[in-house]
Amino acid sequence: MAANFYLSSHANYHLHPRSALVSARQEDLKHATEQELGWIEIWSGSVIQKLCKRLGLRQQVIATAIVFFRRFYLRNSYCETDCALVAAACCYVAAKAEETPVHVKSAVAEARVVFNDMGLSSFPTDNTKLAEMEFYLIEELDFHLVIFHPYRSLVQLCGRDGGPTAGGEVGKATRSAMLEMDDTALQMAWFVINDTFRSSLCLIHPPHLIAIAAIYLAFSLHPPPSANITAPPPATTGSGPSSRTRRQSIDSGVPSSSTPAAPPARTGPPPPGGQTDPITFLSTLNVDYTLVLEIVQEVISLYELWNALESSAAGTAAGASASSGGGKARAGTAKTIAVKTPFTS
Amino acid sequence: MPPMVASAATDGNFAYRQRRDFQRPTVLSRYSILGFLSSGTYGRVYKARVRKPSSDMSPAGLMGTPGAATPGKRLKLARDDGDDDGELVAIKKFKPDKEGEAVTYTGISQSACREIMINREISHEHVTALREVMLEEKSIYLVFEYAEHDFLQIIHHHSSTRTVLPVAVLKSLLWQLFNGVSYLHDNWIIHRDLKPANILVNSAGQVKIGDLGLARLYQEPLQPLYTSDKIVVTVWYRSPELLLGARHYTPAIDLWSMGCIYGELLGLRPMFKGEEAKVEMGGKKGGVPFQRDQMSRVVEVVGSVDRNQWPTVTQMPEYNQLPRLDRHQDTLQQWFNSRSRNSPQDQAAAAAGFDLLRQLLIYDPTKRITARASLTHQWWAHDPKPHANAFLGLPTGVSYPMRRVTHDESDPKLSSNAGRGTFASGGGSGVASGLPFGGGPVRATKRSRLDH
Repeated sequence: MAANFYLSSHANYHLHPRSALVSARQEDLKHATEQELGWIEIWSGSVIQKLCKRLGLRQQVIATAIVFFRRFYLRNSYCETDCALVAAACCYVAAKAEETPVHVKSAVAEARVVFNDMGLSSFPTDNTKLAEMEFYLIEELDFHLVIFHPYRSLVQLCGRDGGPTAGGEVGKATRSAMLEMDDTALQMAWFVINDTFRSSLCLIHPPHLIAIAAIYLAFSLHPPPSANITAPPPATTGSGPSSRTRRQSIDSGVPSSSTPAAPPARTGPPPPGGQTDPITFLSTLNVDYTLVLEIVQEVISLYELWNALESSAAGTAAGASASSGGGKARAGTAKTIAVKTPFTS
Repeated sequence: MPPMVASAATDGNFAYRQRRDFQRPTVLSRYSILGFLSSGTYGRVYKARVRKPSSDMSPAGLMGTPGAATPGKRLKLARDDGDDDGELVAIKKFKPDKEGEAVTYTGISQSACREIMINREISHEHVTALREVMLEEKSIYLVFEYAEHDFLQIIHHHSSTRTVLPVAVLKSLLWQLFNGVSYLHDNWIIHRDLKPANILVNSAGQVKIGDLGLARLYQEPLQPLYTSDKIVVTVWYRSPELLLGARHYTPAIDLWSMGCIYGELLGLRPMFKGEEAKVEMGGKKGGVPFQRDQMSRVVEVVGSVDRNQWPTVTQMPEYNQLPRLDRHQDTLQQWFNSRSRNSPQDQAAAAAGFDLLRQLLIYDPTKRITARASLTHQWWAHDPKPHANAFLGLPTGVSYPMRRVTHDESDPKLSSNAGRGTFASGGGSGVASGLPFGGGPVRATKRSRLDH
């Protein structure tokens, strides 16, 4: 279990084919478009992050809470349940599962603040409502509360995980040759992983594949020094990678030489093989790269969807209609090819 | 306000809950309760038998019979149900929270959450298997495989009958225990409450480690283990680094407990039976007192702590307490010799048996033997060799008594309504205390066991 992902409940019961995700949304599709349902995924991830931050919970707890939320809605529909209460219960249970528990009173109080800010004033004042939801939630989760996250795979892959005793499904196999990643690239990969929780990728792919896809995207977005980019590192809090998103980091500081409005375009040319040669490193890993590429494309689609949501939220109806062309599963063809190149060459 | 009264208009989850409640089978539709085993601060444990699927008491969830799933309309407690061949189980019912008289939801305890979380991930022949988790009327039920005996009961049997625990049995029990603890540690789990009462043995002589209510995963914790639980491990089995207030500790704390358990199997009484200093509310350092008497008991046998052998001891928060204890030589060898039951011609085996005890009771946690290393210790290679059925080593005709089951009529039944559910708060019969499945951090500090 905890020492071996492949023996965990996560690996054996909670990875699903995409078709399962689609059929889980049948009821909701009667009331909303596919794009709107994608926006709910983004919204719910943001809400859970907001609530966990208010409760002083760490990024790993946020990720666990979001996985719980996704698993819950694999069996239920948004339209038949109270998403706000479910989201709050996910944070409350995740805090316990990650051994940094919060009091039910604080969870309710903070949830009320978060949802009131959004104009949802119906969040219950009664602590027992959240505690009751907890009961139903853990049952829906089949009482499987141990979650594996890409963050650990990421730090293992670049050898930042406190030594040889720290094992992992990917880490063990590659301990001899670690990926060299500077802090900026590592942080970028971390941000990309944060972003993946705005989707349902955690229900489909094992965490180490998501981590590898994030590393790839990080190198595409932030090429190694050999690519002659003199980008100032994104402002960091100093306490290590945080819960910022890649998108936020782009907004706040990465080079202005590219178009911040269209993140996927920044995937740009693949990094040339420098001394570190991360692409070669990635290609030596014994993983299925068609899956990694699938994840990369999913993340890019997510960014498009996210942009559309923000332009829609900003009241520019044009933005929403313009970007709705491909839907969730289709990224722009050109971008897809640009991303694919390094692996096929 | 009970959920059924809430109106659908203001409660977005009303229909959802109704559907789920309807699907849920009741505990009594699945198990027939044979009696009550024990209780503690966490709740109570019942002995039960799996009902045959063909039983006329059809599981409400599977058959979808609305009547059977209606709360408050429970099946009668039946002790004499046919089904004699159904598998035996132990059902641990967590005490529901109460606000005044009404049972209500106040959140699942950290202890229950850990026990569920860890048990759902693991599977090992020497760890008590969790069959299923059930939710009913605001209570959590954990259904475990049943084990007829435990180390405490076995020790008590021998001490009260003035008989020795045969070396073959002792060795088999210990081997299986080490095996189970190794598995836990390999999976980044520290048990944190190993003691004879928590180590069960089924009637086939297989050791089953129980009660993971204090256990936790320690791989890259988000905060130091000390932060979430100030007190771990029942005081007699608590390692010196914990007694000295260590803020960071490792699985080595379990190995110390194993040394104490090994010693208790040899001596048939607790090896270091200290008086527990009570936690003072609002006292110094968050109210965790130095366990002076416990530390003295350890020092009396293992000798005064030597800084040269445990260099980092000087950094322990309670280090300055050590010079105030009486000085003692290391007398572990003598302690062992007077209790070892190896025949005199078996010097090599005895020496190996002592070496294992010595390595478990090393002060410096970084030098203490690990669970994994203990499995290849030379002692196991000496006769008698450990066996998968620990009871094979018993003389013919000797067997351990069965777990006592009580049928106290005043006990509120599993079937009680929410309204009158006065679930015992540790007030069960005396025999019950100290039996397995003791639960949570508070209890770890409690001395809840039979006196020798």
